[in-house]
Amino acid sequence: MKTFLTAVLFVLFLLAKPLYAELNIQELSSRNGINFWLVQEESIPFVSLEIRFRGGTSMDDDKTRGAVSFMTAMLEEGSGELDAQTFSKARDSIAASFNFDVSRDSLSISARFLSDKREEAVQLLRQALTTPRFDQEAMERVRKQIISIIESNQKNQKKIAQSKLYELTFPDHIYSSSGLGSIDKIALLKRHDLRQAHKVAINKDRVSVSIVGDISQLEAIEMLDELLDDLPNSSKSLPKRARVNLALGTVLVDYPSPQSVAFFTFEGINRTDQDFFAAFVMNHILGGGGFNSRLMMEIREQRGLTYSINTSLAQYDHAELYLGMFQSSNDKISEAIGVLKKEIAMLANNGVNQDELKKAIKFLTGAYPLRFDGNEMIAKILVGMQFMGLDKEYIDLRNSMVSSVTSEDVARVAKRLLSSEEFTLVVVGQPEGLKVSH
Amino acid sequence: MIAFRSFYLIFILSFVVPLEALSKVTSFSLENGMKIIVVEDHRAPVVTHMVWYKAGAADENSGKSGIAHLLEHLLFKETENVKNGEFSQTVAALGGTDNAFTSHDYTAYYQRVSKQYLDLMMYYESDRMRNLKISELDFSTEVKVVIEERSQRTDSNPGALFNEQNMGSLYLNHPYGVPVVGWRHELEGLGREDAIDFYKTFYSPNNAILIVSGDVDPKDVQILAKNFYGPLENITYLDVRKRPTEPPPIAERRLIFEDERISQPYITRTYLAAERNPGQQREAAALTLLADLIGSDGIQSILGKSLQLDNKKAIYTNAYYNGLSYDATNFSLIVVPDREVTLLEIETELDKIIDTFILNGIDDGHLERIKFQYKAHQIYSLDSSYSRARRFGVALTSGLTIEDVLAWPEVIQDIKPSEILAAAISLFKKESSVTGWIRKPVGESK
Repeated sequence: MKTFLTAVLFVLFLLAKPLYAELNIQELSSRNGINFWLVQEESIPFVSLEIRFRGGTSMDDDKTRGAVSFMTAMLEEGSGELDAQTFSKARDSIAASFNFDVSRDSLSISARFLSDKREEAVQLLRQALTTPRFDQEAMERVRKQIISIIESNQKNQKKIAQSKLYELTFPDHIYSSSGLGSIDKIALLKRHDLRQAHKVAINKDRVSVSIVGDISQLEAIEMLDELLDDLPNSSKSLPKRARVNLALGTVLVDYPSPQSVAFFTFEGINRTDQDFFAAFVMNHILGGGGFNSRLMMEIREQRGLTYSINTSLAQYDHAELYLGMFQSSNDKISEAIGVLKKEIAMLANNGVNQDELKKAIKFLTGAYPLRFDGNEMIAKILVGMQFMGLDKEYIDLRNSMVSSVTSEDVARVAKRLLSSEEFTLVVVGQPEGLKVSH
Repeated sequence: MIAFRSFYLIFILSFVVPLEALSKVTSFSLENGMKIIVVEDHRAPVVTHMVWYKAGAADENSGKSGIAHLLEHLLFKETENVKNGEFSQTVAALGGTDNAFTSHDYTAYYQRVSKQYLDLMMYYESDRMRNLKISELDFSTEVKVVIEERSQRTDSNPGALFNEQNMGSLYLNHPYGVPVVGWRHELEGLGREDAIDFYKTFYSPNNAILIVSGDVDPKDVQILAKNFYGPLENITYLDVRKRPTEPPPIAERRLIFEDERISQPYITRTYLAAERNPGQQREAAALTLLADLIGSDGIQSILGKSLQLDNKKAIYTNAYYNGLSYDATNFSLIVVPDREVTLLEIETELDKIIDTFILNGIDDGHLERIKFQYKAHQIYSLDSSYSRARRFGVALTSGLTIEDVLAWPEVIQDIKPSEILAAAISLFKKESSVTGWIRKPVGESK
């Protein structure tokens, strides 16, 4: 069996040809100037369409915070001539699906429809996007649902930790509060506020689009003109860059539960920073790499102090963070935090060894092409790339940028991002023996 | 010795496109009894390799709850030939991903890698089927991890805690009433020998199903499988799974679950329900459609329409049914009332709606729309060979055959309104149900 293994491992190093060579991305423009990416994949008779508008819940005004997410929830609740129920009947009778979602920085639509129902699907999606009705009756129904979700979040341990962290980290930016809004503000929102939210959050000059599936170039172009041409251009500027307040030490929120939840953050790094890929590799080694990361090995595998711990480089439009999260029993969380701090300090001081670096690069470069699996997945990746301002050549260059990261690069970026001993750590629970800063 | 059979999914929609190459499913068996299914998808050079064991939490000895799932964790440790964690690390070095999952009816392990590494996956997976070593240290650390997992997923989540109580009350005798993750006090009492015992009883080729999906040729899979899994011997004689069965249900059960962490009170109603059985899937198909008609199709369903649109007494309604289960499964309804409406009032409404539904019968237009969505789903589901592979795994460990899986879409299309009504009548019996009230402790509530 030994010889067999050697043979197999030898093959690994010969793997030079990119696996996604056959992904043919066409950069196209609609007649009205909307740029989009198309991948024609005719083997399954359906189309995946991804649309993303820059702005998201950050387009809210303070006094109507929550209006953009309320508006997003209303897009499927009646439009044009159709009320909520008639709309959903029409959508279901052609088995199309439209998913509307909103985050801090974008409002996104994932649509899926059968090729031979394209025209009907586009017509329905167009009216949902351009002529939502915001009927009073549907508004009251959705308003109650939103209030119920906010109430549940207020009692949800993870959500409490998350919102505390954002509140502390972004003291004077709209990122500090939840895009869902607060109960008192949601209670007061009028139809006019939703119309206003619609106007500022769905603009054709802030859109990214990708299409993957069984559709011709011409059909795709026509589809986009029909879908998006009636939308207004932007009238409200995007938020300014956020001031990020870091290194606040350990903050405790009391919460009755057998486990404590911990959220922490360090300084993040922008995707355009020359050390971004070094940070990307570093994160994989520290806590981004599933079962084999340092934090998973030390805190879970060696000591059984948690079920899972992970870290990630968060990229927002107006700020970056380096976030992490885990849960431990109240009697174990202090020990887990101790190990976490030790690991952070070790990485900041000593960087990583060659073996770890090699393994991380192998994983990251090997995993990248495997992501391009399925029309829906590919469409999501492509819209995300456009949203981040990457061009399609990035797909071919990305792995070489990961591979060129050296241990010196990682050591430098680790020192830069992780040197603070007083990083912000929010603990929600009833931890035993935890030293709190405030 | 190897019976090579090919199946082609039958498409009911009249698309004139070459779907066959995409949807090809092949199956065969090895001499030792191991079953193999290949689901082809040649769009990307990726392969998913899965091994499913017909052994889950419902096959545990009583008093040993959680051992099936704990053993799943331990399979990532060492074997006679492979170092602790080596398999996962190798997968990672190839850019692949791996994981495992345990249910009441199965334990499954998978890796998703570039197609040229399929043989390496088979080497490791076949090795840990028979050669696992469990050290005291690995065992005791992993018990702690699983207890943290339980704390995180169950004890930190009032909804999950209620669900344990709900299932424990619905199943009086069958082990579906015991949580997969295990009761905390039993987890704390598990020993290394319990894991070894479960491993030796169930981890054997004749109790396993290999599923390979993606860019592969079934003939290659056959050769590799024969090479790696073929030599494995069966050390166990596996009888059909014999589990304690339910007595006839004769008493309606009611639960009041209170927890400070609940902000939004709600009710659930859960009924014992028929599952899909080999060659007999019509009742389960009728129940699947019933769930959509009554609750899982949003405001078009009866519950959504009556309680959210018409009288506005609820803010959320749903129905759940999953026919993939080895033994009798369950059908559940959930209603979250408006804040002005009491749990008693909403429960009365729910009962009225069920009675009215049975009296009025089925809205043919709605049924047609639901059926069309199932047809379309056959197309959409081709986009993920992983999910298709997984569906075969769940079905085969639930006692079904490949033929049953392939016939299912047609069975769904063929169901008559009268069958749905008949299934509803035999389902909605209070004596085989549990009603749950979930709320924050009374006195504290407004």
